[in-house]
Amino acid sequence: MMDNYLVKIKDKSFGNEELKKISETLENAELDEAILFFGEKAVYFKRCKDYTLVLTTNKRSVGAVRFYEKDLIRKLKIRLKFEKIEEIFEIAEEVDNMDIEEFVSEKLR
Amino acid sequence: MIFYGIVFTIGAVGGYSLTRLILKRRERTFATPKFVAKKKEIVESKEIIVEEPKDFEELVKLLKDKFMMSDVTLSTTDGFPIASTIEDPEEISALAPELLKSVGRVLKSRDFIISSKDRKIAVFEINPEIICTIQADRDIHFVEIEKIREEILKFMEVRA
Repeated sequence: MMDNYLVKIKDKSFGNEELKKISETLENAELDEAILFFGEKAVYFKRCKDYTLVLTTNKRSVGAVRFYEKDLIRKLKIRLKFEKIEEIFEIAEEVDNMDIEEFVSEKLR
Repeated sequence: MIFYGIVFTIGAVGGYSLTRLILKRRERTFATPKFVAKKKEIVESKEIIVEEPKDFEELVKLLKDKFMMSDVTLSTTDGFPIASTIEDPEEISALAPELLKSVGRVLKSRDFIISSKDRKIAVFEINPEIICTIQADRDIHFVEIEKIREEILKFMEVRA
């Protein structure tokens, strides 16, 4: 089972902020992929074009990290898409509530 | 004639009474608390819902119980354990790709069973990423290997 994670997609980050330091250290070391073992725990780090990921798991199931990664990224991308849709709805609602003159004057400003 | 009539009547009444008595006794037996409890137990046991495994850990436990194996281990082709019923799966996980490479090359197969006097180990590839190792104190058949492979692939399909 996955214990903790931190994912950075573009400028947004999701998950446990406590893993930020590990992520930064490994990023500064210019690593693209790494698995680190700390006693019973294992840390998986991956940096690619789309995202940077740090996740911790039990060393007994360290082989499953790639499946956790795939699952996590898929879910987060869906969440990001929904956030964008929500933003569109919010803008639409704002426009809907605006006075037409106010809207025009704002556009002409 | 009268004699036959009397015998027939007595026979009919006697038979009817006897059948009723037997039926009543049987009804009473089925209505006893012990019998009702037993019946309920049987019905309840039939209603056990087989839950789908949520993760790899649950999957290996389920496969171990279902196929009556001693241990089931899933590992990656680079030797990392994914899930196992063994307490320390690192060794077998690291060994599995090596076995697949060396023994598999000799046998020209990606599925094989290694057998000792009282222990059998089957190593087989699920897909290019995953290797499964099963251990048992009895004979392992290739039919079981196929079934286990099917179950794992089905689980992965649902998860993906």
